[in-house]
Amino acid sequence: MAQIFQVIVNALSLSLIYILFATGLTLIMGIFDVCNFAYGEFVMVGGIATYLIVAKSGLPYIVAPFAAMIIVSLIGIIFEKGIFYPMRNRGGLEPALATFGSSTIMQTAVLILFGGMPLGVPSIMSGQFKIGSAYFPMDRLPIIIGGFLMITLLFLFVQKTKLGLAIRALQQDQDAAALQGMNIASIRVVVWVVASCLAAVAGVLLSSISYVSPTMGSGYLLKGFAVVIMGGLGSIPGALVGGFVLGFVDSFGQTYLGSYSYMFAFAFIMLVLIVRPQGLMGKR
Amino acid sequence: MLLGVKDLKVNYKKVEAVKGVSFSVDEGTLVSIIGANGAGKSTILKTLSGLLRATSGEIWFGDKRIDKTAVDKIVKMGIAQVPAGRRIFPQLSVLENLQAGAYTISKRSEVNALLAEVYQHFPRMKERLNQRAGSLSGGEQQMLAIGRAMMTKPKLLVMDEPSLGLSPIMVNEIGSIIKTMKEAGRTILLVEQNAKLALKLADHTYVLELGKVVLEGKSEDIMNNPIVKKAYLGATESS
Amino acid sequence: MKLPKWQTYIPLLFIIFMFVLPLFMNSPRYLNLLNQLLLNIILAMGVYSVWSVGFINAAQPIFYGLGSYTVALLMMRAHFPFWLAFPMAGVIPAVVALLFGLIGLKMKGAYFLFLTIALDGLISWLFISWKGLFGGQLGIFPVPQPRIQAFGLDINFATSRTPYYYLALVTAVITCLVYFKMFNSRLGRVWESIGKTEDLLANTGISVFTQKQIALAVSCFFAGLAGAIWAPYITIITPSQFGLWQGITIVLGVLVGGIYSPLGAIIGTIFMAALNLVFTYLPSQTVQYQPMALGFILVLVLLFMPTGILGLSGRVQNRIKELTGRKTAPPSINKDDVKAV
Repeated sequence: MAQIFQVIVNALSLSLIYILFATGLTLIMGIFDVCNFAYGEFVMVGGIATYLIVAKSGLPYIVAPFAAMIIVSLIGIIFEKGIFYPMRNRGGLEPALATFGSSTIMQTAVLILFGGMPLGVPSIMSGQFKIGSAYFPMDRLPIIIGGFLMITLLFLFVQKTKLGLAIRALQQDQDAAALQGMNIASIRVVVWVVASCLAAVAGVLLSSISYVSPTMGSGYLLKGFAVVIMGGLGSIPGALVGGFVLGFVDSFGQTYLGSYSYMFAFAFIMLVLIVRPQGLMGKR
Repeated sequence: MLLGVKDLKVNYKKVEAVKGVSFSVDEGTLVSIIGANGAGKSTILKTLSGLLRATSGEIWFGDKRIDKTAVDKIVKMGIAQVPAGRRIFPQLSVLENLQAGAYTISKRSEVNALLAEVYQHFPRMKERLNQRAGSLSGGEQQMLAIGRAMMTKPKLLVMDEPSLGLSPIMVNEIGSIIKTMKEAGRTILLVEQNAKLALKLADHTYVLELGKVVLEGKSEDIMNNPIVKKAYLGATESS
Repeated sequence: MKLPKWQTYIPLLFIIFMFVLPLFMNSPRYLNLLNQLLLNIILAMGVYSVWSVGFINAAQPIFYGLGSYTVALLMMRAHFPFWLAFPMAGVIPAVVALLFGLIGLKMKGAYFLFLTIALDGLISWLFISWKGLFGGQLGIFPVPQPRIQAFGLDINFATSRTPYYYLALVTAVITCLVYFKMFNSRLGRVWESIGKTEDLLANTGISVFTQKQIALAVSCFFAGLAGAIWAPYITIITPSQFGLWQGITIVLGVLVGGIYSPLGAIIGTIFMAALNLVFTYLPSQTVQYQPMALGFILVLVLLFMPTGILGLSGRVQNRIKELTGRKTAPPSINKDDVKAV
């Protein structure tokens, strides 16, 4: 019983990180119809920023998310202006390859600057909290709170603001959106900033429970794609459902199946795609 | 003259689709452009809205030249388009579609006034504000598309094939809506394949064939032109 | 995909050149490089053909690896002679590709790319984890070497690298011939229209999905054959030889050469081999910069040289003709008219 509680807490925090990551990815993929292979590196940069601020400079933890959001957003804008906007009429494959190249450049740059050793960042909270016979690990608490906070903010932004409406309109019909007087080029930048902030916060939260390294993003990228494909492309509710499903499948798989969990997760995604090629929440 | 187009030439998919077209729309009138599929009607409208660029020629809106102006600026200046095939946002609610139309208008009171005006024209929309736009019938979607364009507070309303894919009853209904809008003093440019409908509504009509204006004049005169009767009206009357 | 006249002679001259090359250059180092180049060309042609129906297969080395493991295991465990194991090494990857294609080819191109990366991870994991069959990280060794004893000939692959070179060359030439034949047939024209006028194609009763399956299966069949040459050649096969990075290098080669012609795939692969050769002469501390260099090449080629080396030569040709006053149409770069949004 106590073990199951542990696994559930782990699954919940893992799910929230997957969700933060995948909602940003699904926004970009839904609007630009391009896979962003460098999105894992956005998380990595968020982690590096946390390392520099918390472990190197000794600044309070609360500075990290804001600094990370600014830095990653700038990188996001460079991607938009350097790759996505210039290549917007070249289909989905070629810009996707360009993001792959960029991902390599970013990984190598960080490898050269910081070395390949995993960098440690102190946890925001430590210790355990006893509930009945089970223990609640305190280092997961910031992830659960931060994750829920970001997701709530995202939902409010997308559902309740004018820019959020514009983003949803743009996702459905770019020309029609332009005919309503929406400035497509600047809304695209907003999309990048939103997606970058989500990745940055995922990186900050992640760095408090695991090491920061140049390749930390790659693993999350595959998981993120899996969530996006499973949930349905461009669907934020889909990313939410998909993130919880993969987070729980992963956590329980790792606990009860060990190294076979990779196989299990892959088979599970394939199964979802066979039954519903458009994803769990996707529309035809 | 509210809108003036002079010797417009446009390439679409590497083919010259519009080969030197001139026309104008005066304030408070309804002008129509009729022509068969592939005559270049949609290309003209895409160029007008800024989605395509002209290879040569001029477009004037009031006293401003707009053939190099960005799409969103053109909308802000006062040209609204009801695109062919309606192009509403299917996943958004009816209200959200209308709000998307009012994107350029920041004052809340102004948006509410525009909404009230749309409800007045389309009482049916008011009943379905929270319904997903994609679930509306074809005619209702067309009304929503017109309503959405009205939300941009346009000086000129451009409609691309509003009768496309609608039942004959619905075509009549849309026709009468356009007529009331014209009587309310709106300036409208109507582009139609359905020549009968367009000629009935418009003050002035241009006939477009293979990217060129082959005939223009008062709608009554065009209607009585024997060639038009044979080529355009005969087909629509029998259908 | 019809080639201009001058370009049709180049492959012929190139093949003759490659056949006589070992007579002049038989140092094992260069023979080794050439051998790898030929095998990479086989992979690149496959990547190109699948690309021409709208998909990028970054996991091509995994199918190559499947071929290697198939040939090694059949010879070592089932005691198949090489010449029987060799075709089987093509069939197994093709079957895996068909199964994978059932799901993957129904997706959009970019998601297929992602799925190939996931497949790469999965099969690599299988190679590593299934120690009983694939030998884990240490791999399989020694892979037996083929020997031909017929018509009074006795060619022992164990004593010289040259037979491998000719085996690779013949396989590469056959692969290229099959592909060029396919590209210039009705099938090729169908492939060309996939992704551009797919709706029209559906009306003709041709199943687009079947065409995509054929392209993928054929490419993986030849990749498997290449792998079957690699296994006895290197004698020890390990999972790390068939990583994602190798796949990306091949995709990069196809792109650099020019994705609008199959010749581009060959030219690009040669370019990448030359680049790798240059890398080996650089001081060893620059090793960590190499992925960065490849990343920059990838991005810059995509942004500024979308038609690749071949497109560049086309443009240069046009420029010469322009200067000499002869009229030709410039090569079209953008598939669609640039929108002014």
